[in-house]
Amino acid sequence: MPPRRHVAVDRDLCEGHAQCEMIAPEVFKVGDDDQSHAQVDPVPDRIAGEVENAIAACPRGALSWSDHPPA
Amino acid sequence: MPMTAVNELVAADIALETGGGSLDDLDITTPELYQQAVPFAAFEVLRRQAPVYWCLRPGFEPFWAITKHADVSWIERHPEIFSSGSRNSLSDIDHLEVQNSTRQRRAQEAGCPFEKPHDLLYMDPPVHRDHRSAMSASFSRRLITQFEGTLSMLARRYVDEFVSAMKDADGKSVNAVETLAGKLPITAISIILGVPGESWRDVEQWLNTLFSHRVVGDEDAEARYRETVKEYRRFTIDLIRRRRDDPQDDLVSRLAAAEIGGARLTDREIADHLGLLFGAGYETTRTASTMGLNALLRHPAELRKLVQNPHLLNPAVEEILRWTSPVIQFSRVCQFDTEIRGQRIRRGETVVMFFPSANRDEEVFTDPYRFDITRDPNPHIAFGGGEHFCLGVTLARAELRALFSALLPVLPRIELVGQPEMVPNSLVAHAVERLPVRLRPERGE
Repeated sequence: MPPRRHVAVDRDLCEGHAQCEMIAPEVFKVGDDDQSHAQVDPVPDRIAGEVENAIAACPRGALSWSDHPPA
Repeated sequence: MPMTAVNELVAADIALETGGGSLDDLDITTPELYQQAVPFAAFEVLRRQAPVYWCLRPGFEPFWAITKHADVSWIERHPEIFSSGSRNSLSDIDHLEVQNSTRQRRAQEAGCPFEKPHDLLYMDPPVHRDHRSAMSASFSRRLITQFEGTLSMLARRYVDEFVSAMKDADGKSVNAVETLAGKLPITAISIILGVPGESWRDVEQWLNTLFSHRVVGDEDAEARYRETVKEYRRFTIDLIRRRRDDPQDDLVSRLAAAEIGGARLTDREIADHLGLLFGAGYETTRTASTMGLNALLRHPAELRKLVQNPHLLNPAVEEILRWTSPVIQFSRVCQFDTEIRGQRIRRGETVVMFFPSANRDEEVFTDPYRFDITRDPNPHIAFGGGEHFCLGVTLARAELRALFSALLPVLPRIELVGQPEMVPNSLVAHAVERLPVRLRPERGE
């Protein structure tokens, strides 16, 4: 498993269902483009658990941990 | 270990537990079964004893029955392994017969082959993503949130009409499907697609005929069906052409303008997309609404809880979705050898994901057979997940909230007069066509 530092949003899959925003509001915000965007990077350790839950809950499977900061 | 050996072991195991019954006696494929109720007992045996089960039944191509929540979710998130391109739902031979004869007839009429519909259900990524994203803006949270006021207003009107119909029936039963549950879904999807108001009830009539049970060899029914298909097709092609010439802010216009792979969609391609959107937008929400009403009326304590605590509407809607799971199954074809729960699945084999079973998975839901409108968490997968996650999810939830919110004041006075009746012979979705209800007299009346 990659180190839990950055979170990636697959732009082809994300449709802004906002489950992530509800579970980890500090990290995710759905913008006017109907896409979720990570607000903090890297993800602080104290909310890594929330982000883990958000990744699991994304109905489209659009979220994942990543080695790299978001582009 | 060869599959047959594994199955023998599993069969021996269950024989011990059930004192002689065998997994091979379980029935999860007879369409008539689903007319009465989902075979939850059989699914539970499979989840506990053989969650990835090679199902050999007369009248069906052999398939893997997938009954656990985690396995269904995993398959849905791996479209690169499990393709929707060739076969995406389990069909018995009679159903295939109807499907094939329809395609042959369309091919004769059009002079070109009709192998499968050009719709999202039959697509894999990356093509699926291009087509889906041409439509997804019409179902976005932002747009549906703006639509909520309209949905609430419509729901209140339909509930008023429903109450009037029950009063007029004067103690006799009315069918909650046609007097109530079908109204909002057909109007909502029509508005989003861009169907003008004067055609909403036509669309409802056409879809009711198209989705009704077709008996092979019943010539009158076949003729009616063909006439409906013609009217419906004439209407959709005409709508597509009008939107090409004069685009509006609706989904048909969006599809007409979309360029995918450098080309515009043809009328026929758009018509196929619309066919799926009408069906998915109408039938499943109609079923969730009807069966949700049925569930509340059969669980008076939960109904009372909801009426006294309207803030429970959201979790109640989620529980209705889990409880009713309108889609029975979707299938995928495995693209290369893989494993699920240690069971080897070979290239070319079909996996069938049973959503009602996943939504009763005891590993995920405490007390899964309890209808509990306060259930939390409620990670049901009534809308599927991953690549093919229901496109209309936000709309469906908004419709159900609007409907049950409008129903709350009258809910305690509605009573069931009989069992829900399903459209026979469907293994894809529960399509309820009748739920007889009536109004209790008001106190003092």
